[in-house]
Amino acid sequence: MEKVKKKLDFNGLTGIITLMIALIYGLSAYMLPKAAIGNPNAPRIYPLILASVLVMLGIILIIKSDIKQSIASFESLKKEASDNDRLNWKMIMQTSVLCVLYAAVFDHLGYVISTFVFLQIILVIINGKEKWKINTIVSLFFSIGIYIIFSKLLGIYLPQIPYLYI
Amino acid sequence: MAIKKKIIALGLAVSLVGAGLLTGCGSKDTQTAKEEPTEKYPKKAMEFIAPGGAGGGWDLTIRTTAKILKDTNLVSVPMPITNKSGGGGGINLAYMQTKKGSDSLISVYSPPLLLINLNGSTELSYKDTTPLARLITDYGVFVVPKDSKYTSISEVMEALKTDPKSVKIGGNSSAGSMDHIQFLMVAKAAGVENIKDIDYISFQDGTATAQILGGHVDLLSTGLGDVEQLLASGELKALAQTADKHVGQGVLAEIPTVKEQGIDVTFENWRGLFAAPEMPDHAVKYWRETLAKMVETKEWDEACKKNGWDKAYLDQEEFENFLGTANDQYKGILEEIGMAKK
Amino acid sequence: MDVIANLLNGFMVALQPYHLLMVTIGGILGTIVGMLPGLGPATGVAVLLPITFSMGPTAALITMTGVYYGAMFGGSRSSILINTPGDGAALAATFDGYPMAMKGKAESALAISAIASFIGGTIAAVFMVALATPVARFALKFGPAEYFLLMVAALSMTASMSKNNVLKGFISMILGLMIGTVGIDAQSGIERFTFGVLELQTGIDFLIVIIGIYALGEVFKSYKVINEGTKKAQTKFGKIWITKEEWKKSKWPILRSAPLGFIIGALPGAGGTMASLMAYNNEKQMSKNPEEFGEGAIEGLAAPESANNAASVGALIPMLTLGIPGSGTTAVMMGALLMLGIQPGPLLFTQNPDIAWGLIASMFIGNIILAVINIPLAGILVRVLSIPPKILYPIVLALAFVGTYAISNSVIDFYLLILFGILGYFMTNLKIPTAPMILAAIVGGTMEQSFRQAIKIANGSMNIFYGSTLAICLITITIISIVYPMIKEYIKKEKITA
Repeated sequence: MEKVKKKLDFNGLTGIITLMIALIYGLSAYMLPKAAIGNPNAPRIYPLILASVLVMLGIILIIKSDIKQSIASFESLKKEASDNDRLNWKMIMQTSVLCVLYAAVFDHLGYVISTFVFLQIILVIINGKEKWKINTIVSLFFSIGIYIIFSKLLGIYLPQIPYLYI
Repeated sequence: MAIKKKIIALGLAVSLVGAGLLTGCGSKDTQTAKEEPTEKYPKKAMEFIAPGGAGGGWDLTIRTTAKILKDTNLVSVPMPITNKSGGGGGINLAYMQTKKGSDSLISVYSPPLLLINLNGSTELSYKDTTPLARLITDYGVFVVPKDSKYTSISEVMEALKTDPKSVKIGGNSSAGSMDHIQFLMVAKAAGVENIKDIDYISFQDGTATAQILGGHVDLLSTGLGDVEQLLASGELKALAQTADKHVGQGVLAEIPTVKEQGIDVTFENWRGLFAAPEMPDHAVKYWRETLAKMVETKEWDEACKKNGWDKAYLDQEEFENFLGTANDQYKGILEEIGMAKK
Repeated sequence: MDVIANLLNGFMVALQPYHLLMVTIGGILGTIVGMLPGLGPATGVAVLLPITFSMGPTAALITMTGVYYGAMFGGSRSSILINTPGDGAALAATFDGYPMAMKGKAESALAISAIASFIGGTIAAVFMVALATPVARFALKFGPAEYFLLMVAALSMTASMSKNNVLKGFISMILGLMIGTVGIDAQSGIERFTFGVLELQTGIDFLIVIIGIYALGEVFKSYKVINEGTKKAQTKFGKIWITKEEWKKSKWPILRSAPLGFIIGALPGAGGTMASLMAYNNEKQMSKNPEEFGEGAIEGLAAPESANNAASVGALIPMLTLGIPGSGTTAVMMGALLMLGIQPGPLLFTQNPDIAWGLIASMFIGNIILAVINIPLAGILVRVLSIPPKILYPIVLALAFVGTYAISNSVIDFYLLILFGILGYFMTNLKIPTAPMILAAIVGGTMEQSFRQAIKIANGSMNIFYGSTLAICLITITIISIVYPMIKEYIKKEKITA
């Protein structure tokens, strides 16, 4: 899905996506509860205006663009995609998934452990497995260093290491 | 010295009881208690939480409390303060549920704790915490620009009775919260019908005071401590405050109460400490006793004076009763304006 | 005369060796905290507050001023070097500061940022001495209607931010306005678009949007250059200073932006972010080469830096003279004052003249000291660019997360951060400008709320929007700011055809 979006780098698709966002937003705006005090519709008027303007902008974009041409260009782009482009996409996907996992374990593993693992993996993705020594040094110093600065020196709370509570 | 011995003895007793109670729970508390059952509570650092951002009323209250507990040596373990803001305090309330049974979490709350539950922002209520003690109270005040035509709160109420749209009320909290509710409570008691139709205008980032100074709204509903200087310098004039007596010193002490103007109601912006739900009994006991001692210190006296707080200590039991009454009162108002959760 | 005598007394207080030392220490600590992403002046002052507990009120206040300024100076360092603004006011520094660093001109960027901050801050401090009371009075004239018009004026800037593709610029703007509608609607107490998520009730912090789009988006974008191997770490560093030509270019933008920043900063609730963005836009519209903006134009960095420091001085006015904190930072400062037993307000200058004037004098001194310590400090910081990109970008990523956590203490914002990072990347690829979205996300919420406040006050009548002289002035400014670039463009074309 993400791949398709990137390759279809054209106004037609942008228009369609815009239209979809506008409709979903508009629908949820329409379904907002009525206000108990003041004008009952006050909370939703503005979101509804935003949604309608976005619908208009989306339609204009679709009309102005040539869908057929974008499909044709999409095909040609797909053929011409270089290895580098594919690698880029793989890395962006990996990073995004990793970030989500990081968020999921952050509170449970504590700052130091989760950040150390996160940095290790991301450095393997970007910097390569071969340089594991420097990767480990960077991850270790960063995770512990930041933790000490934030948590100990500045008193800004970061999740602690479970069971050790330091 | 005698007191100190007492505390130690008590600490020993409660930690023994605590160890007994906790055996078999498998929590980390069990382990620490088991290892050194003779150690007194509290042993490790406490977790003090302000449910709002730095610089706010909650933040100031808990920071002051922690500082005094430390300065007077009433508590010797570290009490680092965390700000867990969001959801009008609801975020922290949800967080407290994940610490059920913890003996080390203490947070501060005020009327919004009840309001966010009543208006449906969160399912959780004050019953999902362990109230420890009420510490202080601030009161609401109603102020107008210096050239306003109103000279008393009754005049405002009369105007509202004829036309509920004729006086525009400003405040810093969002609709259905503190500043709004405290005004409506007075309006209701004064016999204004259709309090629902009164226009309340909510301003963000504390800018409501600038709006009243500029004369953009007619009346500001706010906290007594927030406008002291502006009253002293004559930029604003206060019509009434919501305590049942005159409070503070200087200009503040001269402000008439709502009651004195024939409207039989009071509103308190109380602040108290709340621990995690199901806090172990020994910890509850420790904190009740420690806080009771703290409010007697001269450091506490000074802090209250400096911040313009009214000392309003209530021990756990009375505090819980008070919360019940306050909850019903707020509920009545929110129901009347249709903002209570259905 | 009275003012000058008071100010001199203030200097006597501030120049005491102990106080000088305190403002320096505060400044250094503030700069360091301000550099960390997510930690702006507000958090800086809050976390460093405890160090002042043992001091007297004057020393404590002077230290806090040092921290405040230090954080303002430090905030733009991370914008310039790693495209990650520390707070909203440093956002505009990414627009041209980061491109400058990418083009190997990081030294000039860091130098001009310190110089512009110094000049902006000093000019504003002079204004403050002369105009504090009238400016405070003027700020009070801004009612909801005027705030609404001010926000509209700010929003009209998006037109210039997306000159090449107006349609997509508008789409971006509407998306930003939609982001601004998330959270509890203050006027009715109704939850909008929170989907039952408690964390969303207070809305989406625009800093999350900014860090997501700029820091995460930048990391995603960097993969291309990393894989192609075209991006190399900078190995040689020059002196942290600017050339004569660069100074000539940025001189006027700095001088023009300072008063603008000062006024905007003095409006409660508007603040440094608005001030720096408006200054940036202002310079872009006045420039003979607006196409260079965003590509590393030095005046595009000088102007917002000057404005945001001037705004930080302006923001102290409502707090000191009226006791109204108009921003998160001044709220924390006011909390600090209250803890010291000082009640800011109209009586501060008569009741505690030594404290009030000592504070103002320490602004001048703090500015000088910070400029002096920031230049050598920048010489160390710029070495960040010598870290190979393959290691630097993972670190930027991790910093973005810790900064986000420092803002909200909530993991929910991590998911938002990732979402905005991906969104930012797609928008760049689809050639949709991201700046209008960010600006709209910043002003959108206040714009809608102000509109509804005004309508409520006026009992539903629209007359309130052109009922005051100030309102009409604001409308005029907005119209000029939209029409002027068009006319300029038209004249340019005429000349070419003629």
